[in-house]
Amino acid sequence: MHEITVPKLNSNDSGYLLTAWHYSDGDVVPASAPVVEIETSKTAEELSSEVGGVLQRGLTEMQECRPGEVIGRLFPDEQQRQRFLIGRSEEPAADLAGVVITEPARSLIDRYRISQDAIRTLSTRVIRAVDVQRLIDEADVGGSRIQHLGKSQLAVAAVVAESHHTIPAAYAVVKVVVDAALAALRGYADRQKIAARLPELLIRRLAGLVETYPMFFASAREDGTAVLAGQVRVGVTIDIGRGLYLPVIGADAVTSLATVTAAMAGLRAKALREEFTAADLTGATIGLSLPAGDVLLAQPLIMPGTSCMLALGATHPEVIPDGHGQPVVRQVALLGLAYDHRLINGRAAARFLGGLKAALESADLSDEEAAS
Amino acid sequence: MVRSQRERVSENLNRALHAMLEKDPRVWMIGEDVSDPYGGAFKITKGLSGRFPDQVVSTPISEAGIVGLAGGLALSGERPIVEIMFGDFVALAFDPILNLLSKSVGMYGRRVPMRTVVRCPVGGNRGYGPTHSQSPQKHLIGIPHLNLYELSPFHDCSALFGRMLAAGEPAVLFENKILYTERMYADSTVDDLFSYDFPASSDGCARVFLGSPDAADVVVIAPGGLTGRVLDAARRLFLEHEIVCLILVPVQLYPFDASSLPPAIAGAGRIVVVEEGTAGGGWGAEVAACLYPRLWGRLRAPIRLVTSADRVIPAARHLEDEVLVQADTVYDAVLEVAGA
Repeated sequence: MHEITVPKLNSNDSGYLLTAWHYSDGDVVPASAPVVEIETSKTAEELSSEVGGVLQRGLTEMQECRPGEVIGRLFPDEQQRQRFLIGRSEEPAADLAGVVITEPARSLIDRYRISQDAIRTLSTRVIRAVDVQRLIDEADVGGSRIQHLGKSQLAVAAVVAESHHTIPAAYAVVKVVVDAALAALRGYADRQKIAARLPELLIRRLAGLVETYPMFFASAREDGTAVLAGQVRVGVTIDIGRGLYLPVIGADAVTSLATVTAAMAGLRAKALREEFTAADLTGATIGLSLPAGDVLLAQPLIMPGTSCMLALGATHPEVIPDGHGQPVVRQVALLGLAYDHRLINGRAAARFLGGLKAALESADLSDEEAAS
Repeated sequence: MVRSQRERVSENLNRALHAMLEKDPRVWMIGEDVSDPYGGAFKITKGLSGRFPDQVVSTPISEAGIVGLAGGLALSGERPIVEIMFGDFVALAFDPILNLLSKSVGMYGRRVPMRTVVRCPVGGNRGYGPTHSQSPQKHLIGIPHLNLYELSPFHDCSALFGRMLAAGEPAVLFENKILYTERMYADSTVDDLFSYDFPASSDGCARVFLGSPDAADVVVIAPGGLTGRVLDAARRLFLEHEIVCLILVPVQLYPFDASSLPPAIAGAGRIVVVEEGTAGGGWGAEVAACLYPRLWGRLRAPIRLVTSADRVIPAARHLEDEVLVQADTVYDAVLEVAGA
């Protein structure tokens, strides 16, 4: 993008008058063509740009301009001009043309994240700190403040609300003893140099359950039928502080522990760089919630279009008596399941959880190692 | 900011001179190089000699002689307007101004009307150096029967010339060169923040205000040539600190009529007087001396004078910037007074 700036045309004038544009917004301006006419106190001068492009005017005719001021822009193509216009309309003050906002007022607006709509309700042309303070005071009901949600949280809100409106959820939890699985994963990591963890193992083990438990990879329809996906595509919760995402580990990535681990690492990297595409976030046939930190138990949402979501809590020790009445310590994790009660009843949920628990507790990873 | 194509100050001034010479054959235009095609160093007298060849006199370089000629013409009932090419050279005409033009009004036992105007392009910020950039207003203050005026982007020059020539006392009109290429303000609007009006009459001081003319934190009194700089400062003071300035632009510098100032001046209690002349014995001191008795007990801070530095004006622009009053000078002074 090339900016058309006003050169210093003489030493007398502090400003000039833009008298005429020779092109309109969106016109293609050839390189070196006169594009705009500027009038000084003594002469009228035509300005041309060395670079051609698609014009977007910044000032209108008969507006004053100053040396150094950007009065228009030339874009390589129409698409880039459109992108610029979209970007400009998202700037906070773009819609407040003709309104003057003082710096003290602006800093209050930024601090309290006051929306343009709210500012417009002031219906005054000059906005001072005291005007903004009035808005804050009005919103400040009983000590609570209005916080506007970001784009990604609004998206989460829409999904959660739809889930709660449309899916009657039930919930069940089992306890999984994970000592053997953790030991097996350590051995696997030592030999394969792949740092797989319990969530990756859980996703891998889900792949073996789709034939036996098709209703857990399904979505309910209004007409009293259910669509069975017949495939394992796991939507996993990832929240590294930049908003909650549910990227999907596809069917081809669940074929081995190594591929699941690689896929998970890839999704985390994308989350960090905020690079998820629509394809990354669609097509899940089952959900897996991975609560952060030491959370033992969480009730996950059921994504619309699926029938259940698992939640794997933090691994923690517990003490139990052994066969001789002596205390022993073992590592456990709670595995919860929120499920669509229209499709699944408690007995089926218990069997599905039991199957998954058994698959996790069986410490044998020899298949995985043979496969790789 | 959107502006219609308003008349430039130089055009307004040129139009006024045309009108004066046309209306009254006793009005003369006298000065160095004022005839066409040159039309004066700043083109203010453009077109006059062609239209009124008998009323325009291009003279040799001799300021005392030119003003002396004007004095003789005025004594004979004529109405000469003199252009001093650069106001700095008015020093050469000090004797005829002091001892002929002004004294003739009151030293012959009866009042003798002396209808004449001496036009002086003044001021710097153009890189013209020590002897072509000065603001010599203060040297002519306090002479009996001599009235001093200053060009302003608010006051129409036709009305101003009519008034100066009707007064019966000689006038000196100071024209800050920076104004020539600026545009006249019209329709009560300065920009998106400021409006203006004339609280007393259209030949009284212009009042520039933000929102309401009766609510201001600081009153800034400045002659026309400082308008742009004071407005720049006032804009920044409001946007950055929400300090509201009321700007008063008198067209008559001397005698200064304090009674015509709006009452808001007492309400603010904080006053800054700006002039481009050098420090010491200046117009601002004269204004302050007029204001103190009226505002005694109601001021919240001493009246603050803003002047250029007590130095010779350098030709180099970056050094000239430091010596002459700039928008920043006004900004700093108002900020200080507002906090007092």
